[in-house]
Amino acid sequence: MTDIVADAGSDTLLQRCAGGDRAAFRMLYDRHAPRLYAVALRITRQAGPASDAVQEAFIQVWRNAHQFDTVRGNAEAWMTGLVRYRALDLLRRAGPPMQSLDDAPEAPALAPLDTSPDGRALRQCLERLEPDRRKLVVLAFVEGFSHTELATRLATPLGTVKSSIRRALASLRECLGA
Amino acid sequence: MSDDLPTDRAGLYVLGVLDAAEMQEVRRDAVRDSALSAAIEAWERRLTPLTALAGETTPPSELWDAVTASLDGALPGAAAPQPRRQPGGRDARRGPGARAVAAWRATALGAMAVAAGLAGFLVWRIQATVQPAAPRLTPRFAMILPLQQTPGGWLVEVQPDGRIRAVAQGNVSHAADRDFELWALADHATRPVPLGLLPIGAGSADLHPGNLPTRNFKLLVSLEPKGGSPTGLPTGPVMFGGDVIRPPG
Repeated sequence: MTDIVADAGSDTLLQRCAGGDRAAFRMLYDRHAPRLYAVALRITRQAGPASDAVQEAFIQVWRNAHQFDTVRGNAEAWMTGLVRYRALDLLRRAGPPMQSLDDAPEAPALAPLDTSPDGRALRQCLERLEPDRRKLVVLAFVEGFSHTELATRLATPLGTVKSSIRRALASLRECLGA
Repeated sequence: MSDDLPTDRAGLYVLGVLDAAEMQEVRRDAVRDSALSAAIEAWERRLTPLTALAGETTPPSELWDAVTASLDGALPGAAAPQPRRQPGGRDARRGPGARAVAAWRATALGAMAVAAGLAGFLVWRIQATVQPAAPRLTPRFAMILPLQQTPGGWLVEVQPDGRIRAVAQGNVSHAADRDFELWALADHATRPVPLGLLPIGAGSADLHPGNLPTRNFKLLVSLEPKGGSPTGLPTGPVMFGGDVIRPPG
């Protein structure tokens, strides 16, 4: 897949949105909504809040497209952030879902990262982490688990979770650079 | 923990491990701290490939309609007869918008039926203890309840002179950069009128809108940018609603 080309396309579509081009907005939606909806659904675990998160994010995309910096920014990362933060807000507001504590989550396999160059680089850096730390990072980002929720679900002391994540972030930053 | 690493707030924020209060703190600080906001962007670029692990799921077909309906400021009633005709194909969007509105109405009506039941109970209790001075000066009431899976709501009292007192119930909350805005939608009207911003937590507020419809109306609450909708019409999702009822007598 030509991810770099596709992403340059999204930047261009965003610029057209800033000029009021609804057709470009629709193309942007068609291209990104299935991925963003899956991201929101994974975090909120419910269709209603997931739809809300994606809806609000796209409204912000349309309104704030003119603020998007095509030189510095990355359209996919920007839109992903809009959806994830909104989904996390909704999740945190609703409180943790009722699930039994023996439901110890497994981190998903990293193979899907290989579909893009950035993903492959991230996978390599993740695989350099200790398995426990890698699992914390992946579960936090994909499932939206907070420090506290990770500690509870993985039956690990909160202090250990926090320090493992802190070290994992430092390693990733060093491995991936800016 | 004998941990000499500095706390990477941007990394923790983007990773998503912070609780609600910590997330709001980071957002607030990032507005003033350009280094922090740049660090957040850098972490977003680093970690976004992880979204591939969630796969892809086709969103509900109404979602696109809901997005465009929000952009047009369209709300329940926007699909009413006599759509505004404009050159340039604006009307082309009314079809799907109307479907979204119909779906919204179905949800809203269900919730409002519940709201009306609760409000009826409430008014019955008020009637039992308060004797109105004169029938014509009876205040009206509404319970504003969630139309979506959101906790909380408001108890609203509409005075005969148009003043509105709203008391938050059930610890209703929103993100720091948002406000809940109250709207009145008159029967058969296509556009709601803004009444003011609602309190959250356990707060109450007195609103003096001065533009209450003279006809019967519903109350709606949308999530808006801080300070309320910049357009005079709802721009965010409509999240709460309720019927205004007048106690008998």
